[in-house]
Amino acid sequence: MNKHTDTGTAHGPLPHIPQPGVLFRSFRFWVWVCFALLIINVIPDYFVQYWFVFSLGYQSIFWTNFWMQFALFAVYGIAVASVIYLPMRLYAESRMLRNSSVHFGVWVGMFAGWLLAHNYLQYLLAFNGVPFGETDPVFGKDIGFYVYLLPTWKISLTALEVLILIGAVSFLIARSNQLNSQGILQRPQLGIWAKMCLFFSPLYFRILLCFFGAAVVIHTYLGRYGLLLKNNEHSGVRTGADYLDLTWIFSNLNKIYVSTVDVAGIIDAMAVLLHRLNRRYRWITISTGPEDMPPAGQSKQLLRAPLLIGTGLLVFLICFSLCVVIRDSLLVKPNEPYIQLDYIDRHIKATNKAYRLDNIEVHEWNLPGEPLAPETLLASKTLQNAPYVPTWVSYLEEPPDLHHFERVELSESKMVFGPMLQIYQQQQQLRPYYDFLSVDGVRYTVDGQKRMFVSSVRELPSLAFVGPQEWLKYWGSAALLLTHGMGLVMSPANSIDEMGSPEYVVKDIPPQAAGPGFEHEPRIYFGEGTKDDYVLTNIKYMKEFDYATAQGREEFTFPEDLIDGLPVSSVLRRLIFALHTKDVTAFLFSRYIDHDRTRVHVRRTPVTRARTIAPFLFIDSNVYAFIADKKVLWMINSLTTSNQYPYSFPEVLGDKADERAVEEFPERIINYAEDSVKITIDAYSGEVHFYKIADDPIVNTWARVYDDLFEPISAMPEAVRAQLTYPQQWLHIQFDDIYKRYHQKYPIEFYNVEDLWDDADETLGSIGRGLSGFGTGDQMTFSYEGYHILLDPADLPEGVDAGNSGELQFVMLLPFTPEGARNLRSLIIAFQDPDDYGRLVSLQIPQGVFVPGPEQIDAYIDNDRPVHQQVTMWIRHSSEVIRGSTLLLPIGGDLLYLETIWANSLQNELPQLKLFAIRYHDLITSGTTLEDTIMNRKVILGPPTSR
Amino acid sequence: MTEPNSATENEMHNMVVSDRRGPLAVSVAWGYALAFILMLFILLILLPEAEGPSPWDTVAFQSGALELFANFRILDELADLSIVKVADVGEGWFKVDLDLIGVSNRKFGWAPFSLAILFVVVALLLRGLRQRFLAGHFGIPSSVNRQVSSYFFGRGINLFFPFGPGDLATAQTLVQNEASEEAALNVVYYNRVFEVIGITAVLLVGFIYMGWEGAVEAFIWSALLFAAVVTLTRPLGPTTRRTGSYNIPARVWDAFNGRALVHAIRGMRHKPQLLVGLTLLSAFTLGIEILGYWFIKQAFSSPMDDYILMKDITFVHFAIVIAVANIGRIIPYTFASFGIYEIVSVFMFKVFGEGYLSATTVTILDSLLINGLTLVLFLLSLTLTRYPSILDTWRNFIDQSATRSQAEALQTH
Repeated sequence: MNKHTDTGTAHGPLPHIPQPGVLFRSFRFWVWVCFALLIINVIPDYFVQYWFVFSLGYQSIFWTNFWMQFALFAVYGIAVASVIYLPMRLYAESRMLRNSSVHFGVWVGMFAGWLLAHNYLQYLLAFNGVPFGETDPVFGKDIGFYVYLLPTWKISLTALEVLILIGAVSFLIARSNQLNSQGILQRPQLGIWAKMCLFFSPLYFRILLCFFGAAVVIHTYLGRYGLLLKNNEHSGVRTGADYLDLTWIFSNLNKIYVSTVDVAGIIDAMAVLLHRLNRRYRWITISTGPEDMPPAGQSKQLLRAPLLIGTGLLVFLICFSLCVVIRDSLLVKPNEPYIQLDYIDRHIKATNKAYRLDNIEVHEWNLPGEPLAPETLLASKTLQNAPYVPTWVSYLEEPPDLHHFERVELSESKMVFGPMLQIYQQQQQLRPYYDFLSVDGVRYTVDGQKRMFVSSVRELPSLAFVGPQEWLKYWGSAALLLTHGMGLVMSPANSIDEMGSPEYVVKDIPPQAAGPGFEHEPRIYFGEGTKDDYVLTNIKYMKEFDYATAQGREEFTFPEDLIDGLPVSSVLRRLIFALHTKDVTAFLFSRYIDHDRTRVHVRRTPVTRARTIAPFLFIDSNVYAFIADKKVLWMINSLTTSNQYPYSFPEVLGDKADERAVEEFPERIINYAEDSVKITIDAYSGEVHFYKIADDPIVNTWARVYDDLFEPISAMPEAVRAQLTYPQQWLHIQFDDIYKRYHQKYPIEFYNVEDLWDDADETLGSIGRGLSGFGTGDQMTFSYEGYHILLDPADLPEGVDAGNSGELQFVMLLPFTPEGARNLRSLIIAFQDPDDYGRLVSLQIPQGVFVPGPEQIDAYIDNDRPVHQQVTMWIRHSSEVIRGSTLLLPIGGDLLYLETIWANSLQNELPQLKLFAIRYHDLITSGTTLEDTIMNRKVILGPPTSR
Repeated sequence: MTEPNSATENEMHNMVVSDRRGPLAVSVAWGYALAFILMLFILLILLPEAEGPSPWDTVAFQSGALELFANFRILDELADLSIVKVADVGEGWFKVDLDLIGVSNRKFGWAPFSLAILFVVVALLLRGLRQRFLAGHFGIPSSVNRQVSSYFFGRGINLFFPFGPGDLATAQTLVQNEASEEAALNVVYYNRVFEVIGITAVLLVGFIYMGWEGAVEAFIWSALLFAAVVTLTRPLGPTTRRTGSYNIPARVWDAFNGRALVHAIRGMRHKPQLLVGLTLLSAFTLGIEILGYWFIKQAFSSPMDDYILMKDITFVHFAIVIAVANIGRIIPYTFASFGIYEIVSVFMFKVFGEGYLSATTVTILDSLLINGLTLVLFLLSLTLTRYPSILDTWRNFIDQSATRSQAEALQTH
């Protein structure tokens, strides 16, 4: 067929393989287009980020981060670009290669710089690290070395190694092009050694090799510190160096030293080899013809010494490794666990210390043999304040297996959660554009009495949550008119009305408060449901919608003296917001925007605000709102973490609950953490405060990095201090992941796992939706998460000092059973009131004593005749029956179980609390009120026998 | 395929061609590398980004990969084999979202899957049939079987090699059937022209159906991706042309060989029935293919409940995506247009509001379906008809390209 360009023929060009230069031109064009698009996409975000932190007074944080990111990006980017370009400049003959290396250098440099700049937080830590003041037991180094410096060294060395490898690839391409162009590689008279020598002889390559060798040697040497984080599960030391790692000659520590020497030796041998070959074959570069070739034997001689050294070192390393293995099999394994006990002890202590479990108070809990009289039970303040109206939406851990998942699906019910959210949505949503996203447990002192309440914020959430109201999705409605939610609703956690519905201390629109303590600024501009959303305030021609009045509407204008909001004061800013929000036409052409007054409010969820300012903090997903000094504030619990604490066991910290939050909450692998920072966000003004509540080295380091960020705990207002809670996920990881095993303090007990616990399970949620499909036989069990109660210190067992009788403590409880059994083993109490904040108590039932666990209590309640009859009747009449949480309540040093049962009409879903059931001293009683339920004991048992 | 005149010329020709093969090897390597780079870009960057803030967030990456496995319904198998563990966090390999296993475990739609296979096979056969009509038009005597088989021989070769050696292979098989070179090349070229016409027809109908407001953004993105594909897969204009550095439209026109395209369409003016008939056939063929892809999406959705891949996308949007993505198939820059088809399809789905994850899932399913069926038909054509070996065809193609490259170099000098 034609061997010409056939552009002019009818059939067009023949398919063919194009020249690389031609390919590169089109490729280059589009790569630059992509870079341009990327920059157009990123720059507006940077501007908005700067204006955002500036508006909140945190601009120094922006600049600290920016300069560190920029320094890493620039230094590494330029270095990478240089190592790509330089060899091309020095060696490549092809003009196309030299030109394209400029493009490739810039692309790869920018990409590599961008990757390294992601590690800016680690570098900030390294430059500002505050020592821990404690040392590791092996090398005697401060823990700060492991947390701040070691990871930074590793990142830097890896970056250096990658840099050199990129440089080596570039060198290979350039050099092969050079030698090819000079025709040297094609000379048949040159042997492979001569060609290789020529290839690698330039000084440039030897310098690269030396740098690479140095980086690898240091990297290998630093591996010795990795022993303290090594997984040694097989020896009983779950994390950290064990007997084999540290003792005697044939240890893993010494193996690392041998490896280091080996790597150094091999690199040296390679350098020597190159040097010798270069000296021997230098003539080739000078001569031009088939001159006197050196005898083949000489090449072998040149190679002999370096090869011998290299091989010898490798053989030595292999032999040494074999000796370690043999020693492990013959001398270590047969003597375990005895030989490992000291190391197991280190591991237990380090883990408990890193997870702040070394100061936990342990009390043996011997339950009294005789029951209290019903009147005495009713007099208990703990029982009187029992939060049977659930203060949570879902504190449930993810179902543990597929079987459970299928059952949740089969039930066709959303009610695996506490029913309060659904009740509020039914009774207090009131207008189509509002919604409730979660319920929280809070406490206030009313008339001198501390009481617990359920509260939920009436938000005006993002359009994604609004549902089918299409008209609310218009830009004018969503961004200009409907800008804020309206107040919160609140109900006592320990009372219901005659219908089984919650009572209200704050309700309706505008919010009506039952007392001055509940009055608050109702406008909610910042809430959990405003994800990916923005609003404009102070616009021209109209005001914001405030709330619906009896037959009309109120309007509102966001006060200009409040700090939040980014001004749209110029066309350039309009353009930047247009690119940032992707609402290009609205921002560029809307006549509502007033350059003098209009502000854009972005990052409106509490978590996004906090995370934007302090991305290094771990954010607990249970964000809650409360009233303090007539403001609605969001509280975020946050932790400082590390995964580098020597000898401490790593766990995954994060939210395991299903559908609890609308935000993404990334998990972290940690082996050290501290409950160190509390963040508040004003739901009206957007004002943010970071309070440092712990003297933790990591948070102190961050305080050194960002000296404007944290306020001391003393600056926290009293009303905010009164609402502190212990972080849910922190409690979970401390106890459900760590303490359940690490409470075994004796190494031999730990090694044998003699007393492993498991978080207790309970039957919860829907147990039937009519008679079809899911029936009572398909109940679901879920693991407990921490739940709040008000606890009277007088109700704790003897010996537990928690304050004066009657002074209620707001605590979080978490029950445990033995692993593989269902009886109760322990009840964990986390104190949350300011004076005792963070105090942890473990009440432990003696190992040989049977006290039924929650799942067993649920079984007793299931089989109780009156309860069973009632539940069956509801299900037959097409109602859904929902089991509430089973509360464990310490009463008078004893233990009482309380469970609520809710009925929900399938026709119009509005759950009502219809039945209480208690289990106390081997007797189940039930009734429609808590008092009746307790007093029914009297009916069944007759007069009390004692106490 | 034209032989040099004398032995000396032959020798010189071989030397020159041999010199030119080296750089072409770089182009071929680049053809393969680009395919993998584009796929890695989709799988390692776009997919995890859907889940987390950083493309290299390990949790996001794992989650994205597992979700993809779930969409393909193989996560459940992995869990059964303990390759991923559904154990407590920290005890197992990954924290696996049980929702994903649930997705993976739901019923597979065998009925839509069968329909998908049927429609795509029909679409492929119709393309072979189109070649038969074109061969008739250019006076090449051949049976339907031979033409269809020849079409799949070429298409099959394009599955393995970049830059479209299959087109040349199809032309060669036509020449074996006593066709002239010119006629054979015309048949192959016109077959591609009608593929473009089919795509244009489907896009036009789609945009008209969507209306002015809905089509503007989609049209802009379609045009941009169209331009990107064309200029990336063909050089920015022939090397001998001087169209000006920044005259992008002229370069795109040249790159797409607009002149020859117009020439080809004009060439058929005297047979309007054939032109209209083949246009309708092409649009219908693409429509059938899109329907096949639609059904494969439905097959991997759950017929039971709300887990549907791309629940909200309309058929018109879906058709526009596939039509634009098919531009990549017309110009086989990588083997089987691997990577190019996928990235265009994923971006186009994104334009219509789909997440990267579902876009990637559906795109990979589409590719597997059509390439798998093409492979089957290629193997069938190999067993039914005697063709030159695949490697010989490839070598021929390289020689052809080296010769052309040499000619271009001489022309430039």
